Amino acid sequence: MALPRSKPPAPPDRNTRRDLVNTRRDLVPDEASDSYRFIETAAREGTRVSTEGLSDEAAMAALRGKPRRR
Amino acid sequence: MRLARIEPVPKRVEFITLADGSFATRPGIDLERFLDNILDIRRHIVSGHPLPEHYYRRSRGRDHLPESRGWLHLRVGHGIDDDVLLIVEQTADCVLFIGLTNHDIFKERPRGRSLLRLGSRIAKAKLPRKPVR
Repeated sequence: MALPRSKPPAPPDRNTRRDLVNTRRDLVPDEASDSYRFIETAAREGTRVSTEGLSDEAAMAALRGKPRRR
Repeated sequence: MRLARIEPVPKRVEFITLADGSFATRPGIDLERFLDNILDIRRHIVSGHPLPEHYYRRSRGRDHLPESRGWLHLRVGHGIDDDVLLIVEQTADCVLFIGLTNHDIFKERPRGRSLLRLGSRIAKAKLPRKPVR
């Protein structure tokens, strides 16, 4: 089966937020809670970053993240 | 039916960063140790070359939970730490690196809970695309 083409992410609408709330309500800590928090954090805080056109060095630097400004 | 392999056609690669700008990596895993393998996977995807078999799971049979969400787990710890996995999602033209984690995701009850509960559809809807400069 052909895979769907990716679309630019749309801003969350009311239904999406409701889905997310319902999703979180079902979650309880378990033995892999560290893993859960990590994935959850990625979904909540994450930003999609494109590596298109980047060299290996630039992609590596992007994966490491930019140093925070003080 | 979901594909259990990364398609051998050129695709762009994107990844998810956290608020501090770093790639989503499970606490306790040293991202630095796996960067070379992550970039090797990226090179194969961007060029459209088949990913070496050692990056795929060894066991036969269906990989129900990741497949049900459209996510694959790649054995990015090959030659370093076999426990470490790169969770990815592919579409027709893109492979999204979700995060670096380990096999503990399969100890969750129900198994793979974190993957099931936080589908990439929701994550995608929340995530604006940001080019690297």
